[in-house]
Order: sequence, then structure tokens, then C-alpha cells
Amino acid sequence: MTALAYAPSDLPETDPVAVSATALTRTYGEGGSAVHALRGVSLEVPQGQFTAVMGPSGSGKSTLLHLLAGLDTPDAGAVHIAGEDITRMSDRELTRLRRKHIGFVFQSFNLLPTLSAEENVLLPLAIAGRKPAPEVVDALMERMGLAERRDHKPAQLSGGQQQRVAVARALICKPTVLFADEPTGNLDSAAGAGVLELLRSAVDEDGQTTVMVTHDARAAAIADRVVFLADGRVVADLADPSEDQILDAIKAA
Amino acid sequence: MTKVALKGLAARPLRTALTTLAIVVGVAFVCAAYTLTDTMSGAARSLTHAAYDGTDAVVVAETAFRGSQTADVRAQAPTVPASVLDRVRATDGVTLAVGDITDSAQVIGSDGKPVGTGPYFGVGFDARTPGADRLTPFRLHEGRWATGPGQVVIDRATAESQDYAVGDRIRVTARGEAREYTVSGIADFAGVKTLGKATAAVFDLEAARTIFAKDGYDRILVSGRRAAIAVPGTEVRSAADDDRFAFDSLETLVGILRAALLAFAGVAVLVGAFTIFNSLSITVAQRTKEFGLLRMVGATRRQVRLGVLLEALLIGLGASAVGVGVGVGLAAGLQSLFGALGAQLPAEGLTLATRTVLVSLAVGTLATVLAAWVPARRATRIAPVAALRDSASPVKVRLFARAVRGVAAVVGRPAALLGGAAGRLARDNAMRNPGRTAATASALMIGVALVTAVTIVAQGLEEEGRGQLADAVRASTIVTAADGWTPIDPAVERAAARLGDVSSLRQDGALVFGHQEAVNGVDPATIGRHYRFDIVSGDGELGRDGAIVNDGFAAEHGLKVGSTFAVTAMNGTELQLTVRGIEQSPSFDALGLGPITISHAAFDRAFDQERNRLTFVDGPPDAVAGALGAFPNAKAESKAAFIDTQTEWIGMILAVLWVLLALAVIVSLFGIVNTLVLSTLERTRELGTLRALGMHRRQVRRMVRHESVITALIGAVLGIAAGLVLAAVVVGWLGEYGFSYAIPAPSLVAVAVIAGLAGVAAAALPARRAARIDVLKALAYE
Repeated sequence: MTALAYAPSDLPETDPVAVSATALTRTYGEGGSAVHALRGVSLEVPQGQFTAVMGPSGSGKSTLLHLLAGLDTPDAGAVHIAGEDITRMSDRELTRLRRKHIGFVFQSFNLLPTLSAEENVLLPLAIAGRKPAPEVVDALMERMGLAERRDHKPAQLSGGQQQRVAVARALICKPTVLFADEPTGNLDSAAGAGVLELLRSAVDEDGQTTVMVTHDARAAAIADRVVFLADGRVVADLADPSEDQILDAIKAA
Repeated sequence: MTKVALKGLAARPLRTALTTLAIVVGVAFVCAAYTLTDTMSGAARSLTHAAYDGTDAVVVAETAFRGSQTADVRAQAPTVPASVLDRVRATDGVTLAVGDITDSAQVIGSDGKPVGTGPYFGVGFDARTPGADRLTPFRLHEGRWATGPGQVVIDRATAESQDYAVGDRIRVTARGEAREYTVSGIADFAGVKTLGKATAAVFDLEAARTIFAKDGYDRILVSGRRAAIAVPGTEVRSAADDDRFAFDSLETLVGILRAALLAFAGVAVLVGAFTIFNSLSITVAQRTKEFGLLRMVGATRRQVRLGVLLEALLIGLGASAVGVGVGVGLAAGLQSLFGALGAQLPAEGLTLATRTVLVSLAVGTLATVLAAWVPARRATRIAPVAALRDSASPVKVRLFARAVRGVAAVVGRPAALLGGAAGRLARDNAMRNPGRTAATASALMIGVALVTAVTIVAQGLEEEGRGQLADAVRASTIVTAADGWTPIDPAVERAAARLGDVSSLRQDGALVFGHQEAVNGVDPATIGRHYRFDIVSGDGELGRDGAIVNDGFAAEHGLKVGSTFAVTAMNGTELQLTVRGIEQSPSFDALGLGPITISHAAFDRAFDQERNRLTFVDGPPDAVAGALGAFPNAKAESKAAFIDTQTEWIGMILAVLWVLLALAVIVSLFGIVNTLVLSTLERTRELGTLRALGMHRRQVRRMVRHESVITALIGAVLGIAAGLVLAAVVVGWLGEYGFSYAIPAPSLVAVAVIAGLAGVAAAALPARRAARIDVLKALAYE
């Protein structure tokens, strides 16, 4: 709960929107076997806000994240990131968008096994053909607690360390928005708490807009706002909820 | 387990197809080798029948030894006196007997040069004796047989290629100067337009005796009972035994062709086996969970192994069956290629023997099953608990794999420097599973190693030959027959003598120490100015009965300077020779001169053949060529051009080997494609991650391409290294022949560049597949 103490609970209403979703619909399959993953979801994430998305299995939370991150295309509705409509973008434009505006943290880390921790962190820059500023890298590695682990291969790192590498990798480009998909799902609670603390501090210190999908109430409790989905619809939207409030909302949903 | 194996194959059609391709090519080559050569020897046999079956017996002069068809220098057989013909005709049971001459004569083309590259049949045929048609393989296509001097019948292929028609005046050269003849007819050879690439000029028999300067006939062809024929000084043989059109050498050639094609089929199968081994290894690694599960539900190790082997058996059988089909097509293609090159054989349809099918199926299936042995054993080591684990056990890094990793680091450097992140990742990917990269690269390595070794040995051979000729030949101009090796008339030497100092070298075959050897005749007074024998002992003064022998021959037969030995010509004349000089054996006999050299005086006493293999002239080639205008079959070359001509066969053989080995390289490319497809499949999630991190499709393609090029370059580098070693061993082994070992740097660079480009080509499909993956699906988990 310590993280909450730093939460900027009084965000100004006029803050520019980092990510917005408008009436998103997404259906998988056809006819009788069709699955309506999203049935018209709208959501605005202001800059600098830490938003958690919760909901039971099949509620559409992962689909929402994929649509927001441009990994999937909605049947109807639009997604805007930094003011640009990403739903009509070509593969090439989407790739550029990912380089510039999107950071991603996966449940299963997805580090490249052949690269060292530091190389993994620098990978997005390398892909984009950019050179890292050494002091920025040093500071980031220090902050992620990876200063001693820079040359280790993923196989030599613990789960928590691997996920911290993944967070560093997502932050290295200073993305407009960072998406985290169940970032603590594969970690024990101590390691999970460490990763959450890092995400929180990125929001607090750098104003990093973050959207995190989770089914863990304790993880969601560090967010500035928790959006609840059920059956492809937004059923609740709580500002700064406590863990208890979140658990209540889950029961209600 | 059968069902599991079958379903496994059906579920992975692309993988199965790619795995199959490698073995298909090898089996196709085996099948094509047999089918093509069976078809060709079938054709040769049917030609033999067509040519000789009407002839019941052949009467030839008794000779001191039977001339060998395959000797380097064919001995000239003596003729049968014309009087023998009457005695044969008078023999009881002989219904028909005619004289025959089968020698060589060149039809001169519209460009003034001999048509074709030989053999040039020059035949004397007795058309005036009724029924003689039965005793010749030539069948009149149009016109009439030649029945007097100044007439000639030519083969249909020559007539067509030169646009010669009945009634045309054409030039033909037999002995000496070309003469004009009227085309009286055009003939086929036993149902084909011509025999292989041969040309034929068929003259009237009596005219031919004059043209070819024969006292009698080469042989007498007989129809009737052969038992009663007995004329002293002659022998009776069957036509096939006499084999005047040298079909036996055709069979020998087919045998060599078969051996060569089978050797390359072997290489292709070996390379294919490597590919299979690799594919199955990866497949087994990928299916760790599946095998663990099978074990967990009660499958024994044996069943798991049998499952994998069964899968291999099915792949092998299927691929071999396809390979047989492809092989028949390949044989048909090669056959029409030979046809297009002018080597026409009777069309018989392809001969697909049961043996061919069985051998092809067995080779392909066995190779596949053997290649599956190690992966199958690996599958049995998978514990049931693997079904519950996610990751495969770490790969053991063996010595060879370690070498591969080192090479990958080096050849991957340019990719890493130039290819940006994609290049660096490609290098890492090539190095992450060195065992797999090693197996993939080693398929290519085999082909490249053979290309390298063959190139080095061939170049050593060529340089050796060139150096030797450059040393030995001193004349400024050398005159040979147009084909470079058949003898030409001494009239050519006399004509050239007007220009300057000349000297000639004659050659015939004789029996020496029980073997047929080549004997050279030279003019001791002049040869030294034109051709240098490297005499190491003795004075080399030939005189009337002296001989120079080479040191190999001397050592073999215990000859020293002053020793005597006997040489027997085919006509029975025996020469008693005294060794006057021992020459250094050439490293390899570029000119095919053989071990014994005697004076013209001695040579002409023993041998009937007063024709020259080589005529050396001290004069400019252009002037010599001008002076020899009347002899279209004489080719005057400068020393440099002569050396080129005499060694160009090495380059031609090398070119053929390159083409055949290219096939092995193509097979190994399938291996690279296969490995890349499997690897990208394995790394789907990684690819998804990279795409999610902002990697363009173009970069993904580049990454796969770089990995492919790196793998290909590893194969090329290791192959070149292995080839260098292999060539060193071969050259060392041939060291007694003084072979030189030179590294053909430009060729090796070319090989490496081709390998790199091949890598790009092999990456095309896997790179497209890798770039097309659905990011969302690739990232899907749970």
C-alpha cells in the first residue's frame, strides 16, 4: 500500500488523453459459435494515469488490451493513441507506432534467450536503429535493480529479474503508453510486488501512462483507476480504489 | 503407434514435404543413372544386332595379338590379301562373301573443316556384288550406292547438317589431300541417322582400296556357314567379336557414365540423409511434450523408437517412390539433351528395369531410416515427466558444433555490422543451436568440399600438363589432325617441309612383354630441335634399333641402358631393340605418348601405319596453315594454342563435375530451407515479441535471410577447408606423379559467393513465413 501514498490523486480534468477507445466491438467466429469479446467499450486514459483493467476470464480484458495496443483490429469503433486513429493503420504504420508510442510487458516476459539482460533492454532501440545514451541506460538499469545483472542471459535470471528486464525494455523508448498484460501472473508475490513498485514509480516519477490488465486485486490496488469488464462491457470504473473496494467490485460484477 | 506416426505426418504437410524433397532428388538421380544407362546400352546392343546380325562370319588377317579397343593407342591391323576373297567364296557353305574396308575419312563441311568431332567412318562397300546390303549396317535412304571412284555415300545426319544432297560435289579427305566426290546417295546407320556423333563416308570398295592405300581388304564379310572356312594366314571371327564399329567402346563409355552418375547420386543421397537427420532431430526436440505424453500413457521406449522409425520409413518410401518418377523424367530429359547435342541413339523408349525401381526404393528408404536412427534414440530418452515441462533439455555442444559456433561468429560479423539489430539477432540465432546449424551446414559442406577438391586436383593436373608440354615442345608450330589425336598422312609433313625444318612423331600399338603398348617413331636427326626427351641415362642415340624408354617402364621390366627387348607389331614383325636412353617419366602423360620411342627407320620396318600423330614445324602457324590448305583435316597450331587444345579436356571434365556437384548443393539448400522453417516455427513467440517491440516485416525477413546466409557460409567455409584437406590428400597420394597443389583462389571465392547467394535463395520461403506471422497468435499463451 506504500505505493498509494505517492499517488497523484488529484489529476486535473483537462489532462490530455493518451489513449482512447470509442465504442469498441470485437467478435470472434461466426453464427452460433460467435464469441462477443467486446460489445461496445469506451475508455479514455489521460496522460500520466495508471489504469488497471480487471474482469473474470472471458470478460474481454485481454481483447481490449490487444485492441488498444494495435495488436488486433476492432470490428467497430476506434482507438486513438497520441491523437492518431490506429485502427486504420497499415502494418508498416503500426510498427512505427509501436516503436514510438507503445511499450509492452508480457506475462511470460518474452525475453530473447540469446541476448544478455542489457541487450534485451536495448533491443527496441536497436530495432529502430537508434543509439542509446549511456547515462540514460545506466540510470534505468540502476533503477530496475539490474546494475549487477547486465551481462546475464535470461536463463541465468530469476523470474522477477526477468520481468524487471522486460519493464526496462518497455520503458527504454519512453513510450506514450505502456501496456502490461498480467505482468505479475508468472511471479511469486514478493517478486510481483517488486515489479508493481517499478511500474508505480515510472508513473510517479516520469508521468508514464500505463494500462495494466490483471486479475490480481492486490496488483490492481496500486493503480490510479480500475476499470471492470464483464461480458464485453465496462461494468465499473473506480478512481483510486482500495483492495477491499476492488474485491467488492469483483463480487458485484 | 502406426496411427500416431501417420497422423503426425499428415498434420505437418509442409515439414514432411520439405524433408521428403531432399531424398527425392537423391533417389531421382539413382533412378535416372540406371534408366539412362540401361536405355543407352539397350540402344548400343540393338545397334550391335542391327549392324552385325546379317553377317555370319568375318575373315581377318591373323595377327600377333588381338588389338585392344580400349588401349590408349589402337594398333593398326594388317589387311587380308585380295586373293583370300576368292578362296573364301569358293568354300563350301559360303553363300556370299565381300571385302570390307572400315577406316577413317572426314567429310569436309561448307566451312572447309571436317564435319563433327569423330569418329569419322570411312568405309569401302562392295555394292556391285548382289546381296551385299545384308552385310552392312548402312541402309540407303536415298540415291544409289557408290560404284566407282569419285562417288560417295554420306550419312543422313551429316547431309542434313551441311545441307548436302544427292548429286552435290563435296570434299572428303581420307589420306592426305581432300578430294572432290559426287554424293551418290545418303544412308542411315542401322535405323538411325548416324551412329552417335560419328560421320560416315561410304565409298565403292575398289575405289576405297586406292583411297586408303590398302593392299587387300580390312576384312571379308561372309554370309553362310563359317565352319568350313580355312585360309592360311587368316582367322575367322564373328562380326560382334570383330566389332569394326567399336560398339564395345560405346558400352565402356556407358559404363563410365553410369559410374559417374551413380557417384553423384551417392553424394546427393548422403546430403539428403543429412537433411533428414537434421529435420527429424528438430522434430523430435519440438515434440518432446508429445513423446513424454506417449510415455506417460504407457508407451514403451521401444514403441516410441519404432514410432519415429516408422515415420522415417514412410517418408523414405514415399520420397523414393516420387524419386523414381522424377528420375524417369530426369533420364528422359538427359536423353533428349544428349540427342540435342547430336549423340543420337536409336529411340527405344526408356528402359525402367525392375532392378532400377528396387535399388532406388531401397537406397532412399534405407538412407532415410538410417538417418532417423539417432533422432529415434533421442526420442526414447525423453522421460514421461517431459510432458509436464515446458522447455526442452539443453543441447549438448560437441566439438564440431563448437567449431561451427566459432565460424558462425566470424562469418556472421558482416551481418551483425551491416544488418543492424536484425543482423545481430541472425548471428545469435545461427549460434544458439550449433549442433543444428552444424548438421544443416554439413550437408552443404559435403558438396562444397567435393567441388573444392575436384577443382584443385583438376587444376593441378592442368598445370602439370601445361608445364610439361611447355618444357618438352620446342617447335613453333604443331600440326595434328582436326580432332587432335588421330594420325594424318605424311603428305602433310612433306607439304609443311617447304616452310622450314619439320619433324614428325608416328605411333602404333605393339605387343611388349605381353602387353599392348604405344610405340612412337621419330626421326633422330631432327626430333631434338622440336621435341625434347628428358633423358636421364644413356645417350639417346636411336640408330636403327635403339629405343628410348621411360623410367617407369624401365623399372617395371628391369631394363637398363644396353638391355635388349622385343616389340611385336600386329602383323607379326618383331623388332629387337636396345635401350639407348631412359627418359624421365612424365608426371602424367599429357600427349599420351606411351613408354617406347624408336627411330622412323625401325618403326617403318615393323608397322604398316606410316601416318603421323604429331608434325612439328619450324615456322609461323599462319604460314603453315596456309601451306596446308589442301589438307582440311590438318590443324596447325602455335605452341601456346597446342598446349591449350591438348589440356582443354581437363576443363571440360571439370565443368561436367561442377554441374553434377551443383545438384548436391541444391539438395543441401532444401536442408537449409527445412531447418529455417522449423526454427522460425520454434521461435514463433520470439518473432511475435520482436514485432511487438517495433520490428518491421522487412527486418524480420532480413533476420531470417541473414541466418540463412550465415549457415550457408559456414557450410562454404568448412567445405572449402575440408576440400583443401581432401585435395591435399589426393595430391599427396598422386605425389609420385609430381602433382602440384595450387589453391584456386578465384574459384573458391566464387564458391563462397554462390553459397551466400544460395543462402539468400533458401531463405525466401522461410523469411516470408516468418514475416507473415500473426503477432497476436504468436504471443498467445496459456
